[in-house]
Amino acid sequence: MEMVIKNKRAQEEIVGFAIIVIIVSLIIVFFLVFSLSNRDQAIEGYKEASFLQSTLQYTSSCENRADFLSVQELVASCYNKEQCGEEEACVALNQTLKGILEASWPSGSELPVKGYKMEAVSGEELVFSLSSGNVTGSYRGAQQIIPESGASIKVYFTAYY
Amino acid sequence: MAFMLIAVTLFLILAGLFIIVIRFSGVRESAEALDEKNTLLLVSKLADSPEFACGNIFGEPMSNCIDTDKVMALKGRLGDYDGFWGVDGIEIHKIYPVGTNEECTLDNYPECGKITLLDAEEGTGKENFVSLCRKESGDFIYNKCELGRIIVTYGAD
Repeated sequence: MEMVIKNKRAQEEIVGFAIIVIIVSLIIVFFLVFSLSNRDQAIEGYKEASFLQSTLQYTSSCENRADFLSVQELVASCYNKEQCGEEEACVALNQTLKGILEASWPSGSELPVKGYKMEAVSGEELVFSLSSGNVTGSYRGAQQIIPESGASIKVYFTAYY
Repeated sequence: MAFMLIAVTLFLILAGLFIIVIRFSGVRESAEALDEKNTLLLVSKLADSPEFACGNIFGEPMSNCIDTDKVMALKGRLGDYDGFWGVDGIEIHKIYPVGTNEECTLDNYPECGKITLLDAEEGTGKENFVSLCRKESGDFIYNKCELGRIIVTYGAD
């Protein structure tokens, strides 16, 4: 009789232990889901955002009515398939951005920056895309929106580390 | 009963340790990211201060933009700004168009590549991208913005 009572108590203790294990496991899973979903993304890409903003303000060599177009205006000009003097606006834009990117973001497998990508899209339409180096899993990026006659052009810049 | 209590206690301790390790594994990264954000904000704040900022002089308000004409004028009166910014070094470098790395003076400006306002021998340097804008005269007067970086040095003894 005493043996039966002991066995029953042992079973109850095991059940109690199992319940504690389940409850603690659930708490850990809940905690992990909560902490991983709350990673701070806002502090990413601050330098990239400054670069993008400064690049869009850059004065290109495209002359337009006693003024020169900024890169931001040149992106809109490229989107509208306009001309920049003798050449197409998109050609001038690509040349300007290529020079800026090469001077600003030296990239390579032995350098801190492994690669970069800059592109502009309006809806589904790709306005331009420039990239160099390798794409890695560690990256930071920024975007700017250029309003252009009803549409909006989104310019993205991503640096891969 | 005693063994069960020990088992439960050990399990709870291990679970607690697991949570602590997971919780604090990203603290160092977060601290570094926050430090980087703060220094970049400091650099941008400096670039947007009235002594440097473009304001509305180039048409529309521009942030992250340094009026180099203003900075060159400021360079001649640095004695009035001793300790004003609370940093040890401030340098402005032109990145693009690529050209000379010569220090800017009133004689060679704007055909130069660097403006040193405060020259720091040592310390931690932090940099950020900025637009370097000025009024340019040719056939007509227009706004010319180039790409540069501002380097702020602090923490020197």
